[in-house]
Amino acid sequence: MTYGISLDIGTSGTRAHAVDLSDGKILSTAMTACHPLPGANIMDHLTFCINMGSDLAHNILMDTVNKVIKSLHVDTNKVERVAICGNPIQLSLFQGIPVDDLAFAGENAHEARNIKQQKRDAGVFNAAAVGLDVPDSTELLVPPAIKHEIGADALAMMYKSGFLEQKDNCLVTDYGTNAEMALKVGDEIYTGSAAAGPAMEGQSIKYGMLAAPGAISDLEYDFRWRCKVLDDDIRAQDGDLYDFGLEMCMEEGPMHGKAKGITGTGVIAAVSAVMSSNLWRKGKLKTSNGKCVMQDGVYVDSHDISEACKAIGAMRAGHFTLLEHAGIKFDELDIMYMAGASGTYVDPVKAREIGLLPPSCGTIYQIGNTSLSMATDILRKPELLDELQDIANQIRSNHVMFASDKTFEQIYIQELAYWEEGMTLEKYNQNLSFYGIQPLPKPKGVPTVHRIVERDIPVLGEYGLTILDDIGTELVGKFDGCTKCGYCVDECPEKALSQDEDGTMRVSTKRCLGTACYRCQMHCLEGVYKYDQLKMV
Amino acid sequence: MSRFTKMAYATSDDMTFGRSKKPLSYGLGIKVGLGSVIPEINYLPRPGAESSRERLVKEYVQYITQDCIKQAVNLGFPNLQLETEWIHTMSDDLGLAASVVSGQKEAITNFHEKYGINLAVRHTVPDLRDASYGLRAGMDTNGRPEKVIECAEVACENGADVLSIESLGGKELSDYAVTTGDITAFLFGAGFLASKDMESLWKELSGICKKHRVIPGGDSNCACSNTVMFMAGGHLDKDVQKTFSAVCRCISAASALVVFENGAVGPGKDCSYEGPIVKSITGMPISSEGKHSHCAHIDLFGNLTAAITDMWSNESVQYRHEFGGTSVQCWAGLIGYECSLMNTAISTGTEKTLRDLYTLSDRGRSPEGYILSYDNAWKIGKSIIECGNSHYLRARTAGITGAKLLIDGYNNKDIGLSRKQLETLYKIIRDLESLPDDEDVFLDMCIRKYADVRGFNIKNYGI
Repeated sequence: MTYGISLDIGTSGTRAHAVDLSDGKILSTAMTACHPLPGANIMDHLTFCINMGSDLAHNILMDTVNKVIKSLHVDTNKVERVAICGNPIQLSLFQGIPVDDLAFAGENAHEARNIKQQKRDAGVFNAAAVGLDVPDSTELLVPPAIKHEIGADALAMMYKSGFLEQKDNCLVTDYGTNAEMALKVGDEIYTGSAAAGPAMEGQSIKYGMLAAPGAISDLEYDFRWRCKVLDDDIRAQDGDLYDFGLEMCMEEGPMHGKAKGITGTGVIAAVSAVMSSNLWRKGKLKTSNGKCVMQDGVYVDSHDISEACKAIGAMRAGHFTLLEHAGIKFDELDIMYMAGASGTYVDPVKAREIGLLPPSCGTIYQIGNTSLSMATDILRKPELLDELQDIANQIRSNHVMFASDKTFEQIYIQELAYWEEGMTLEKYNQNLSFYGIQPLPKPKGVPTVHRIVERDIPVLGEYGLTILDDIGTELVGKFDGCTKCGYCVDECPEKALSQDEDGTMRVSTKRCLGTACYRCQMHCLEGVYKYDQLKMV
Repeated sequence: MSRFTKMAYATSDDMTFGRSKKPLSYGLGIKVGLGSVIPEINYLPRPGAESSRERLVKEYVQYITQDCIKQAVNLGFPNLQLETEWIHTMSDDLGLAASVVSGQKEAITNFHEKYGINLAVRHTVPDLRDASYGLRAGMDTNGRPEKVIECAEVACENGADVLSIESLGGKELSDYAVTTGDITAFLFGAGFLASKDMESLWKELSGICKKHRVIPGGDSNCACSNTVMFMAGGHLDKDVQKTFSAVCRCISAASALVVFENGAVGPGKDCSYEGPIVKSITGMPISSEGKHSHCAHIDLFGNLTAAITDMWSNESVQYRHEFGGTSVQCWAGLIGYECSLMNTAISTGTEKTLRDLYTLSDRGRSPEGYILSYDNAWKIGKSIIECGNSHYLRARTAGITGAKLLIDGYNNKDIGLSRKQLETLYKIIRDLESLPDDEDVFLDMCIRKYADVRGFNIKNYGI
């Protein structure tokens, strides 16, 4: 028996299937709970790459991917093919391709730095050569990017959803840490990518966790809020009934005593419940203790809600910006495809209500993890690469770089004021009208939801699912002049930093917030701690 | 089938105003039943305001809503709930209704933002149905039953915080009963048929509420038992015996309970005078009216109904100018101050004293006040839940229990009754006790007996 490995390299984790190449059957699935590089989003990863070197970033990522492959319960000596998918930055990190053309936006920035644009077409490479622990003869199949910023993951969500065949205006979004989105109006496609952050995946949330037994995955409105807790079969069951306004448990449910944390979909439901209960005011929860307590001590606090709101704001501003660039009104957009784990499991009605999808969308499709699905398709049928390259070549895409887009900036400023400063929707729309931007309507009616898959990864295989937590590596360093005061260690918000007795500093990369934080360096009393001088073990 | 089989309160003394076993939070910071009584202001636009869409929206939003809230802010009340009982102009023009609902929501949001006052709006949609044409969907060629549901959808979709209705099920029989003094007809109409109607109606209404995250407040047996109460009137009115009206109230409690077994969570409607009985069973918050509803009608228990309430309301007051401001401002002041008194009693730990003063003030004033005293209300509630699943048996038992409580009260010199009132009670007990124990037999008997009552059609009740 020979095997193939399909990989989805995401910003907040890697997912993989082992496939029997004789019949294309999925044998097993593995995934990580986070990304091994320091940081919580794509910008952190890029900055780490540029500051610490692409080689180091590549090596850390390959270390994790090899651990994932080893946990798939198949003999890696019999792996013949590996197919991958992901956004251009993650795929570049994986392949060891320079990422500076993605890190700096615009031709001027490229010229000033003498940056060469990388080619990211479909191709067959040597898997062992990029650092995978597989036989030398193993092929690595890489799908094409549409344009250099619009990666294979965006192609996957368009290709797998039916978006490309859709005649009416439609929108597709891969709900992840780095949310790829595409709007189709006639033959034109407008794409963008919002760095939403990891809150949608339950990360950067105090009680955040992946979907596992004990996770609160949803809150169901029953005139109060019923916690839905995942049981041992990862199925949502009734937990306790809470009234968040009264800050009281009204009734214990069958899953009482079993909640341990909250998933990204649970966080979205919590945002919806908090907004619906009128408990969010100027960036703070109005409850007596600043927490929205659910069951068994699990709660979300103002920081958690704020993180989620920023992500929601980024996604809404992204969608809004695409509509503005396409020149269509909200009421001209009805169809929405939601991809990715969060896009599959989230309650679309709640998601639409809080702004994760345009308020006008009345027809919603939840389509699962299209990235891993397309990688698996390629594994089964390598010639699909040519077909995908043809599709990529034919797509008339207009990529909107949100980072430098004026419309996005104007809308996102309103989003921040709305979520964090308590600005009303009326004022939001009034401000947008000054820039000639259409108003954001309120959602109306109840949308029709088509759940195309039951799970984001519909088939796990006969060997089941393995979730890897033991990933990432350590960065270590010793600094002359360090007094071992421990201030840097205390300041680390993620408890990623420790110090040996001999003064050696150790940073756990998977926990570290990276360049978005640097509190360790900033709080060094002697000024000797230099994050960039840490080395991989 | 969901049925209450246990009392929410172990003893009647556990019940007080401002606290309920199942408190609620909704709207913009409103918390009901958690230690304070909240004023609920009820109003009607001036005649003529309905002459144009713009004028009516302005009347509701810019005049009534703003006047009520400004007065509450002016007088330092921390909470206010508004109740808009839809007038027919609104149900005739749902676009207009949507403008009123959304306009009120926008207004309360602005005031909440500006002054921090906790606010909510209850929308009570009209029951447009007519038993003669059909109470259920598909029966009335004029589409009245469907229109009721449409009204609820519009209210919920456009910003209602609480949804209520005053349903009309069984009214054709209860109207017949009050004019003929036939307690069996009342039991059949307001007890049995109203239960069937409320069961079907509230399954649908609570579903709409859930979809739009609106609180399904509750219903009222206003159409039946308040009609009897109104006909029984004050001490100068003799047409309908007040003991008859008191027993009718007990029977109505059994059907009012059905609403809470089919999705409603409270606060119940203010005109649901049977609220104390319902609260003793469900533990859900109630709204009540009494002395401050005399702008619309009298009752003989103006203080007593405040004894265990969670919201204190007036009855619809027509918007007009008084010396002290507009009518809604005056009434908002009156009910707000009453709540302030009750809340002071709660905060000083003297709420049971005030509860008992409210009760004693009116307990002997009329038979209906007597059976609505919280101790008797609890006993009637207990008799209802001990009857099992039958809507008929629950209503019959409630009536018999109420009648016997009144006779016991008379014998104990707790309440004075005239000979005629006593004779009415004895007859009621005889009539109710002689009825069959089997619901189906009772049903067959009533279908035959009341076949000629105008508007009666058993198909209206899904039977």
